Amino acid sequence: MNEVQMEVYMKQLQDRQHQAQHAAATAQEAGLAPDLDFLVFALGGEEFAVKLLGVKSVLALPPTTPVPYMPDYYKGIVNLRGQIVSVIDLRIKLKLEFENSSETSVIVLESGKTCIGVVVDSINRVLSVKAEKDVLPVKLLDVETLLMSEKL
Amino acid sequence: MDDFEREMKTGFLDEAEQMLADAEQCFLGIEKSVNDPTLKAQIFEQILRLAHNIKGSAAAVGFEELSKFTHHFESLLLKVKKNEVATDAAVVGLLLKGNDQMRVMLKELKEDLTAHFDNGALINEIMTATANSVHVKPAAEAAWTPSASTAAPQPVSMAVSEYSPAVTASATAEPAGEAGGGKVAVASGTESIRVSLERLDALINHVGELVIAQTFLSEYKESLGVLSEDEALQKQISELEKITSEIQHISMSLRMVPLRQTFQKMQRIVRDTSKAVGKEVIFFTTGDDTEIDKTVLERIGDPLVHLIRNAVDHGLESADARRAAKKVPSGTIHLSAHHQGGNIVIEVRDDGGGLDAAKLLAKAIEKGILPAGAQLSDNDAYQLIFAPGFSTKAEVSELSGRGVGMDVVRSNIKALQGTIQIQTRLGHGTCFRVILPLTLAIVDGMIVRLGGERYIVPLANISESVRPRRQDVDVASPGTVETIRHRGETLPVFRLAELLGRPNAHPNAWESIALVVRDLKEHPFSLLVDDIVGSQQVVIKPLGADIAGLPGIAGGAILGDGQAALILDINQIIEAAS
Repeated sequence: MNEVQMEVYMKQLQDRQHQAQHAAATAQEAGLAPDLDFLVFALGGEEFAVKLLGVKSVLALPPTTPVPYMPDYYKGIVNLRGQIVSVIDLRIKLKLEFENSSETSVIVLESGKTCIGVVVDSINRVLSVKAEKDVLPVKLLDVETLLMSEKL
Repeated sequence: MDDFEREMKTGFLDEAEQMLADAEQCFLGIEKSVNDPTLKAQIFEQILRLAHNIKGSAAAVGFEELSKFTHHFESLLLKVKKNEVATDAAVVGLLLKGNDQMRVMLKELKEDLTAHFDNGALINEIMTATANSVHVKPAAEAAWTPSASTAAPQPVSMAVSEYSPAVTASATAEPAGEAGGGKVAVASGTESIRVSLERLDALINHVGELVIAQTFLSEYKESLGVLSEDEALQKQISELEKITSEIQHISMSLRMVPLRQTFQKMQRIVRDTSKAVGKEVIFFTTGDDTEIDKTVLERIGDPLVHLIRNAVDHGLESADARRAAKKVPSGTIHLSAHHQGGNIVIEVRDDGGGLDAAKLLAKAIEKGILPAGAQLSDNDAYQLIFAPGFSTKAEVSELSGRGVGMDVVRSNIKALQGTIQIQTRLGHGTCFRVILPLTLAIVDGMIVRLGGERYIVPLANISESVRPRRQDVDVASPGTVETIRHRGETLPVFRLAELLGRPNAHPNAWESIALVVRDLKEHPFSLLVDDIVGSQQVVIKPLGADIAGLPGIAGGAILGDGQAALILDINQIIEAAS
C-alpha cells in the first residue's frame, strides 16, 4: 500500500473503531459482553491479531531515524503527526525471515500514554469475533504486555 | 460530583492558593509593624479580607471544613486587629501555623476534592488564643470564662447562617470567580482567564508544528521554478513567516509566570531559618516580576530554598563575629532576578564572611576528597562546596542539611540545563548566581551530520566550530590522546560517532568539523562531527518510555523536512565516555 491508500485505510479503521466503541457501549447497557474487533496482520508467514481499539494508526513503512545504543530490532523514531514514536521490528526480534515489500507496514499501538510502532509484513483484515462464542482463529498479540516488555 | 462542580472547586483552589501566599506576606509584615499602628491596621485589614474571601468561597463551593477553620481563624484575626489580643510572637506564630494548615488542606484538596481534615486541635488552640482576650480586659474575665466552652460550637452555625446569602449568590451567578479573585488577584486591572497547562502545551506543540511547516515553506519557495517569479505568492509567504514567528513568540510567552510567589516563599524560609539559628537577617528581593517558564519555576524552588538556608546558616556570621569584624550586627541577604540574553539569572547574595579558599582546601584534604598536599586555585577551591559530602561548618546544623545539599543543588540546576557560579570575597560576602534557560520547551540547536544520520546539539553547549588544519592535529600515540591545537589551547579530541557507537565516516580529524565545547568546570575539548547541516530552533518533544533516559539523549525534535531527530546532551555523553 502507498501512503495515500494507507491514509484511506486508516480512516476506515477509525470508523470501525467508533462503531465498535458504540456497539460495546450498547452491549454493556444491555448487560451483554460486546463483540470484539481485531486487526489481523502477517508476520513471518503467520497471522496474528491485535485488538482494534488499541491501534492508534497504520503507516506505510516510513523512513526511521536510528537511535544510538539500541539493539538491531529497534528501527528508530518516526514523526507521527508531531509526536515522536519508536518503531520496532518484531521480525528481527523473533528472528523471522522477511523481505520488505509494498505491503510492509507499521501498526502503531497505544496503551495508556505509551505508544509504539511495530513493523509487520502486511495488514490483512479486520476480524469481528462474537463474544463468548467464537474462538479467535489467529494468535493474539497482547499489546499491553508487548509495550511493557519493550523497556528495552 | 459533576464537571461543573469540579471545575468550580478546582478554580477555587487555585485562587485560594494565591490568596494564602498573599496572606503570608502580610503575616511576615506584622512583626515589623509592631510600632506602627497604621501599618498594622492596614495589614490586618488585608489579611481579614483574604480570610473572609477564602471562608466565603470555600463555603460556596462546598469545602465546609476549610470554611469552618477559616472562620475560627478570622475570629482570632478580628480580636488581634481590635487589639483585644496582644500581637506577640506566640500569636503571630499561631497565625502562621493556621496559614500553613490551610495550605496543607488546599494541597490535599487539590489531590482529592473530597478529602477530610481533623482540625480540632488547632481550632482549639486558636479558640483559646481568641478567648485570651480577657487578659487584656481583666474586667470582662468573669463574664467570659464560664461561657467560653458552651459558646464554642456557636460560631460554626453562625458561619453558615451568616454566609449563606453569599453561597447562593456566588453559586448561581458567578461560580468561584466573584467571591475569590475579584478584589485581590486582579489588582493590576488587566483581565485574565485561567487555562489548564495541558491545553496550553497542546497549543504550543501545534505552534511548533506550524513553525516547522513554515520553515519548510520558506526554504521551498526558492525552488518553485516559474512560481518563484510570482511576486504576490512570494509576498504572501513572507507575510506568513512574520505572522508565524509572532504566534510562536506569543505562545511561548504564555507559559511564562513571574517569580513572585517563589520569592515570597523565600521570605518565610529566611524568617524560620534565622529564628532557628538566632541571627538577625535583613532580607530583600528585587526583580520578583521577572518571568520564567512554569516548569522551570516549579523545579527551581527546592534549590533556591537550599541556597537561602545556606546563606543564613553558613554564609552570614553570628552577630558577635560581625561586630568583631566592624560590620552591622544584622546580616543582609539579597535575592534578585533579571533577564540576560536568553537566560534568567537568579542571585542569592549575602554580606557574610565569604568563602575561605584555604579553609575549603584543608577541609577537603581532611575529608579525603583531595590527596594531602593538593594545590588548587581559589576558584577551584570554591567549587569544592559542590563536592558530595562536603560541609564547611564544623557542627552539622539541622537546618542546612548535612553537607548533602550543594551537590544536589548543582545537579538540580544542571538538570534544568542551567549553571551555578560563585562569586566571593573573604570578609565581604558570597554571591551564588544561578543561570537558567528561559524555557525548557524549545532549544536553539545546531544540526550536525554523522554519516547519513543527523543529530541536534544545543547551541549553548558549543562555543565555536572549526575545521582543523592538518598540521594542528596531533594523532594519538600509545600513552597520549589525540589533540587539536587551536588558538593556543590544546583540545582533546572526541569523535561523536564513536561516543554514540555509530559508524564513523571520517577517521581523520582534519576531514571533520570540530565543535569546541567549553564548560566552566570541565577542561575544554573538541567534538568531531562529519558536517554541520544548519541551525534551527526546535521544539523539544518527549521520547517514548522505551528510549527516554538513554545516556546523552535529552529528547527528540522534528526537523524542517518532517523527519524526527534526537537532541543530544553533550555533557552527559562525555561523562558516560570518561
